[in-house]
Amino acid sequence: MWGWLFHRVTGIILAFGLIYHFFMMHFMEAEAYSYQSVIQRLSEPSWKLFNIVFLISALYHGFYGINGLVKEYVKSEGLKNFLKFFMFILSLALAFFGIKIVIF
Amino acid sequence: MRYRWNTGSIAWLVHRITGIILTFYLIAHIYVLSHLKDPEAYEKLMSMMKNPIIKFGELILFALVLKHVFAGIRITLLEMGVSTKYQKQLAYAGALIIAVLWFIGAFYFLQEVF
Repeated sequence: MWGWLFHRVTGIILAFGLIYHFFMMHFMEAEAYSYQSVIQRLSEPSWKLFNIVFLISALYHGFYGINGLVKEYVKSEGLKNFLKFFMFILSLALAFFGIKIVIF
Repeated sequence: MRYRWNTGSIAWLVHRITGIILTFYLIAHIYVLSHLKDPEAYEKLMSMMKNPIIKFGELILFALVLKHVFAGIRITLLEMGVSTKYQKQLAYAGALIIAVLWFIGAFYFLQEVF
């Protein structure tokens, strides 16, 4: 129940975050995309917070969704458990690397 | 699981397929961003983004994201108690909004190339 609720909450975060992301990526003047200004922007704490929330939401939402598909479609118990474990580790690893990219 | 092929089940199936693709894209996205801190790699990446094939990929990605977001909104509305009587209308309304937003977005995306 909580898992599903969180899935929906992250979905809403992602929908609004993506609008922002989309405008940031396509609607600013060319200068805003130079290496200097991108690194400058990424070093601001507010952007770090946004990016971490965005990252965790996306990972949770994506892997919760796939987890549901595995539960529903994979018949073999062994394979199901393996995939669930694998995805759990994979999502943790991606969260780790993602946060590392954001913070440093 | 068996599907009866109607608007609702196709929408649900497409929602799942786009979800899987977007999750794989997310993994690739995190991997690409891990090279961002190096100025040379950054310039290389940005010039690659101007490549028409990549732009085409971006347009497909944009369509997938739109589809997934609006299908998600539709599902949420249905679960919040909007009568399932209207689920077809919701699907068609969603498709229309997606098409309009996609064309507007595509116009701006392609301006970056031409």
